[in-house]
Amino acid sequence: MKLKRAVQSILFCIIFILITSRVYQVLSWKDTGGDYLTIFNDFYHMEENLIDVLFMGSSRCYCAIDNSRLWTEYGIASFNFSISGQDLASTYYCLVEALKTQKPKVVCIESYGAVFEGYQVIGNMYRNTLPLKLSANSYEAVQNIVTDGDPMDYWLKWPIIHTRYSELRARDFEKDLPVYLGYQAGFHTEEIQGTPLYIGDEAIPTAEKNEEYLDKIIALAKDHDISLCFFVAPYAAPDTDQRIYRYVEQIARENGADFLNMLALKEELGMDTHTDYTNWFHTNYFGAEKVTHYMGEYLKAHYALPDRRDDVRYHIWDEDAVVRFHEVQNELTIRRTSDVINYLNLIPGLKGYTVFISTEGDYLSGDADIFGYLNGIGISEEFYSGRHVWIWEDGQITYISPETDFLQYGDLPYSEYAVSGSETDHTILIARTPYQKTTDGINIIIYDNILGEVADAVGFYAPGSYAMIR
Amino acid sequence: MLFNSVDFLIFFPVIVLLCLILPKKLRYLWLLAASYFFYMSWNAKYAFLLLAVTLCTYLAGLILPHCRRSFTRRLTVAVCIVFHLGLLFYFKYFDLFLNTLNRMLSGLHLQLLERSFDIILPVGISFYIFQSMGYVIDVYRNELAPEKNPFRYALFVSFFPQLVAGPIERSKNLLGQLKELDQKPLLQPGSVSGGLTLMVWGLFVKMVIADRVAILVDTVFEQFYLYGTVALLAGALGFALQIYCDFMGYSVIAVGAARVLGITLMDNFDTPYFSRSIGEFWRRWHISLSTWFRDYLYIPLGGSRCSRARKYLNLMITMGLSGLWHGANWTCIAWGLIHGIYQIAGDLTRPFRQKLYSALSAKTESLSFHLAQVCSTFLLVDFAWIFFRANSIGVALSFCKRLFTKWDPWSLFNGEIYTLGLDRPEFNILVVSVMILFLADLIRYKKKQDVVAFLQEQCIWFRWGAVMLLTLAILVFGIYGVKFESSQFIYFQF
Repeated sequence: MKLKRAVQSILFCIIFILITSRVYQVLSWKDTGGDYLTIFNDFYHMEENLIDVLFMGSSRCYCAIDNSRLWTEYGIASFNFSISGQDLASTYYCLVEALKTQKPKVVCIESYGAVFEGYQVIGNMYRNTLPLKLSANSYEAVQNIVTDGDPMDYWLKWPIIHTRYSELRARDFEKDLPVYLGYQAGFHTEEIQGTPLYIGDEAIPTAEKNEEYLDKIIALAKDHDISLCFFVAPYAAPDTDQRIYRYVEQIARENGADFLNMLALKEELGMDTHTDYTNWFHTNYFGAEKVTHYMGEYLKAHYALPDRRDDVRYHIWDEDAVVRFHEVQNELTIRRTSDVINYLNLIPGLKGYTVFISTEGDYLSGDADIFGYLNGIGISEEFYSGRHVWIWEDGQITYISPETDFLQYGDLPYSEYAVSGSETDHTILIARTPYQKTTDGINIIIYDNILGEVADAVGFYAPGSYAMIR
Repeated sequence: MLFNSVDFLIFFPVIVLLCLILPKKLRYLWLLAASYFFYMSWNAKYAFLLLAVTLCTYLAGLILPHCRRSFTRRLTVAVCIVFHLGLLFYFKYFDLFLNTLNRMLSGLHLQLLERSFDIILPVGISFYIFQSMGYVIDVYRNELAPEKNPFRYALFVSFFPQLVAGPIERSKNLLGQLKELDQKPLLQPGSVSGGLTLMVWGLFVKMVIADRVAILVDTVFEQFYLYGTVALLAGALGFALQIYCDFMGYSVIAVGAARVLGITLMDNFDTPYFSRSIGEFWRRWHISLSTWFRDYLYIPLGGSRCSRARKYLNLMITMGLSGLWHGANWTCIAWGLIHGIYQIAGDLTRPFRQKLYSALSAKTESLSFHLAQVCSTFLLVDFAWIFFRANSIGVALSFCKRLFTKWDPWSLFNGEIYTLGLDRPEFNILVVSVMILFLADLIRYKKKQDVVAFLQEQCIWFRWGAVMLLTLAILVFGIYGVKFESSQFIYFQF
């Protein structure tokens, strides 16, 4: 009887632990870059000993270094372990965490952490502590990083993350998310006022705590026989920041580490203050392209890094390249196309997308001849003059609706769709959200199967000249 | 160290495990040390007060059997009671006394008295002083032999599960069990699982319901002048729910924790909001205090076996002092007196009501009649809670005035209810949790079973499933941590 009771108790405890851990996964903190993306998901699921180059630092690092470009152009297997507001203490604890499973040959640290003096935003404290797995390292990290609130709350995590129940999204319940190796492309462009390069010799010491962790990082790298490369990504750096970088450079050089000050290399990089920055502080996609190219050349020239492109174990870098390509295509091609002809021309070339096209009302009344372009997508003459909904995927039409009274629904990668029609109009729902823009013209909704999101939803209003409604 | 804190989550298992490891004879000493540690976690200085109360009542208990003359016995008890009431007055009521006196002096245009020192109310002082006084009175009445072991007696006064917010245990019940502590095996499977289930249930009602509805209550009571009938009613109903779940939650955790340690504490609540009269409410609400006042004050005053006028006077004294026990302010006294008036009014109108029922041929045993009685009793109780919760009598009166004059039924439908601190999802969580509480109370009321007894009758999947769900509800929906600051148990301040 006692044995039976004990077995029952153990069984139920196991069930409880399993349920609780699933609930924890759902509620867990999933943001390291301010955009509901966490690098820890891919890091913790990554096979051991794959990363050759580890990038670390604050948002300035994940905005400047494009891992997919380093992969596609140089075959460098890099991981961008950067977190918003990552100071040097956080860099150290992340490095310890990384070295538990990886043996990078080079660790590149964007040095803005040396300018920090404490966390300005509590969210950054969350981002740098909560995703760490429970371990002696995470305990130490919490004890030394947390300055606001009870460290016990950060260590136990539940006291902070349990309130996320009110902000959960579908993605919190997904286990397989698109690959994310750390780079976050910024597509917004802002013209910035450049600052002069500091050419004096005066170095301003970094804060005592920063220096302590700088020494620890250097010692840790030496212990693991890792080459260290400190760098400063381009921005409109104030004079004080530049003097602090001087200090970091001195320490780096004294300890045999490299120091790459891109503030002094803006011309070599070809940085343009009109086009290459999201704001004075961060590079945008175009800036990152230049920084990454320079960094790739530099890494290839200074370190013996193997080309991993033919190694099957590195498939996630291929997947990451596809994901990043989609991000760029969505932003720079699809969302920047506004003419009906160009838009229809674009669709046949899309791969990894599902496109919903509907013709509504008096959609033929526009002055452009669009049949040829619709035909290019696969819409035949037979259906051209009717009001239908078409679903197009990777080069072919997979569904054609009747003109009225229909309902079609199904799954999409990471989502679902439903299209329906009545005598008066059509409804296209993706993830239960309606997307059609016009009742007199053509609606086109492009769903990105790789990123799991609606890449674009536009309507072309037929009366007149198919003006775009986005 | 709150029951709903990480500290207690570590403290309690350590205490239980060491209880298991230590020799049986040392258990009560270990529990005594643990209890003092628990108490000192609020403020180490308080321990001296606890020690003083313990010493005084312990010595009084030892002296009493040796007093041959009735006068000396009475004198001993009187000195002991005066000492304790003096302590209570000094620590709890001095401010009220001074403020009231100054108000009177101000009315007479005389110089006000200044307070030359700050007094911090020691947590739980009313509970252990009443428990200790009960012991002395029991010994005086020869209902109990005095406890000779000073450490065991000290444990009786300081037993940590019920030290700071009750139940106010009777010496006959608790001391007897503490004496047997070294004789019975500890951690019996039934008592451990039952105790832990009770603790989970108590934490659920405290952290998921009481602390959640407290957000709404605080919003309404702090700015009552901005709200109309609907919001004020929500605030008043919310407070009835809050104080019940808060105090009942604490008591249940205390009873559960004691049960894990092999000690059975008295139940402090028995579905009070299902009462059909105010008298019944007091037999179901804070039972340990109500019976304390009944046994040690109301009956010695003459109880109900005296003239009607005297009976009503006894009732008003008892209820007024019960109010004063709950808080050192006039709102609490008013709350107690309102309950006294309710009972007197109920007694006076009983013949009239009975005549009315028979004239109307009312089916007084029907469900609908009982339901009407339950609802009317609840509304009366809830009305009195307004005085209990308000910052002053003036605020309570203004609150009531607005409640009855600022009629705004449209607020029920325009979403204003979700602007009182709890948005729609939070409100939904509250509603579902209250439904679970209602179900548990209904089972208790109908089947006379507490949560544990009910669950033990169910199949194992249901039993474990219920406990797991409650635990998960606490973890996810409990009010704790960074975004929410968990509030202290209301009854700690008494």
